[in-house]
Amino acid sequence: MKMLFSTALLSVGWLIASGQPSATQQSASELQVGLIRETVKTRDLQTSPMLYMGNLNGLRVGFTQRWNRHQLRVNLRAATGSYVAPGLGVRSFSFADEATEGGTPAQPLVLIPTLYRGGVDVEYLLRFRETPNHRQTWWGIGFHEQAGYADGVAMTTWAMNTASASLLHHTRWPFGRRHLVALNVSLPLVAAVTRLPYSNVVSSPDESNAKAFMQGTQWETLPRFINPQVGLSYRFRVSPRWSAQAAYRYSYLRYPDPELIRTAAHTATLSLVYHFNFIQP
Amino acid sequence: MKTNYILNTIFAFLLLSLSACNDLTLGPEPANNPETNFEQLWQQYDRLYGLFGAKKVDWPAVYQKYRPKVTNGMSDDAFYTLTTQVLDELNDGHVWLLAPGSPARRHDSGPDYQKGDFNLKLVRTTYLQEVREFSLAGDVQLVSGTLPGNIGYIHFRDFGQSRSFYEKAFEEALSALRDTKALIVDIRDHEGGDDRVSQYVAGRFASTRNLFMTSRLRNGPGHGDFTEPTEWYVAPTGSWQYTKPVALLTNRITESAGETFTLAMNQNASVTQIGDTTYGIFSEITRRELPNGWIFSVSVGDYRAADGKSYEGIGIAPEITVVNTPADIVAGKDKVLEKALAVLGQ
Repeated sequence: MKMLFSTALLSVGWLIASGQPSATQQSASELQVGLIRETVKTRDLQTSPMLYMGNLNGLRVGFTQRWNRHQLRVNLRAATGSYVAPGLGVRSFSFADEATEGGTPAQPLVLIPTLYRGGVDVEYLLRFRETPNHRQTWWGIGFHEQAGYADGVAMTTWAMNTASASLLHHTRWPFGRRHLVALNVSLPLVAAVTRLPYSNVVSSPDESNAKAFMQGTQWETLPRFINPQVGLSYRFRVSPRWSAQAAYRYSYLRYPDPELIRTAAHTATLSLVYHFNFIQP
Repeated sequence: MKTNYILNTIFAFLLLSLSACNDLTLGPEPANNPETNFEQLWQQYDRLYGLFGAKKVDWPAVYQKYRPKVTNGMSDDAFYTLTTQVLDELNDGHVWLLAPGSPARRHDSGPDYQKGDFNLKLVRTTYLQEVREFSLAGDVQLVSGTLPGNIGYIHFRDFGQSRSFYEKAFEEALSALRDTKALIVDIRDHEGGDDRVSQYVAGRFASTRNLFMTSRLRNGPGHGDFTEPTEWYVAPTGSWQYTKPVALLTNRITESAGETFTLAMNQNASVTQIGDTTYGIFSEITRRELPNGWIFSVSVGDYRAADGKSYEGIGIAPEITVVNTPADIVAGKDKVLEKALAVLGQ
């Protein structure tokens, strides 16, 4: 944790030192609420040799505070959905000898795991360049927390938590007064990674399973923990107060312990943006 | 300036295209055929099973014995039968194989002890008075009552619920029996559950803190790669403890967390274990699956009693051995319970 804070503080310090404050600071704030549609493909050899695919729906809430030369972004997102190995399909188990007291055959057990994914991003960026046609280039540092949990994968529990400090890149291309295209890229520099242990079991006499799980946290850096994310968004300014935004984000994760996990996630988001305290055009 | 703009656009699209290609780096899935499935099964036990040493199983020899018999041309049924034979080499009641379907197929490694030497309905109708039930989601988890001679009785079906359930339900059941002169705790046909619940419930009968178990979990590919031992202590729990004489009833179907409970209870001086030896399965398990969709369980730990011995595949022998026959139960007689009443009534 100490390492994460040190890295974050140093990076923020470097960014502040590099950016030049404006003579007159103007600020703009926006609140975003959106629907998430996410496809997650994972091969986690710790759980199964098979590829699992999750189709998730969820919500996203974001807040951005932007000044002339720096901005703060906070995002919360959560999604859930079925999580099935396409190679195995939906498996059901009927037991002929299991009957209720009334003699009716027991309902078959249908194995459809549910995947839950959630995250919090806190990002600070500084504007490094603006061209005459208002294309802006930003760089920054972000704290990304991502948690995942699934029940019933091979009839057992799957869980993973990552908290990372990432280098951020953000480019904004305004087209006229109503259109905006933005590119977002992030690359974790240091991360705290929590996975189930080698035995895939947490068992402790004095602690809850959650606490015992978190005690297995490992500090990692590139290239052991690889989790780049790249996103593209388009925003249409409907009115001075409102915008509509469509965004796509791809993230890839690779981590080798205790067995190799590789995940590719495609996330589409449709958001409504409310502008307040905005810079008057 | 225009060049920069074009370069940035190309950069963005390159990143997105690369990201789409990255799906390919998730790697290929293994083939679904008997040979690959056998290799997967054998390797998963090789890297995870925690009882090769305790059970003296030569796992490479098992590979040598069965691998030549596996061919990709063999039928699903033949491969299933062979797989069950492989798992039977472990003789471990925590190890099972489950194949989906209608009907599904399930095979349990380990001894197949006959049921029928215990019937809770018989205890309730023939022996018990002032019967109380403690249920969760419609399932009866705990039954309590009184027996002749001012002796209390509590039966646990399993320890599969959260500790908070037992803290509340067991407190209520035990409080109602606080004034009895002795107590019977019946864990015959106990299906297991959470070892922390075992520890908590046993603590309600403890007057001192005693080591009752150590556990180690596999943490590497070598058969001797384990975590440092975790020590499990039984110590007084709850607002008060029942320290009067207790008879703990066990049978061959007292399993898993029922057995770690037995280890913990046997550390309490007031407890006498009566009945039959427990099943002999202690370790935590994880589950894995094969490319053909079959699911199997693996014991990943090496659990030892306070004396340092492993009772995996052996079970915990009672202080007083009494075993019902199915005929006794059909005749309406529970000799184990009657022996406990006699011992506690002395």
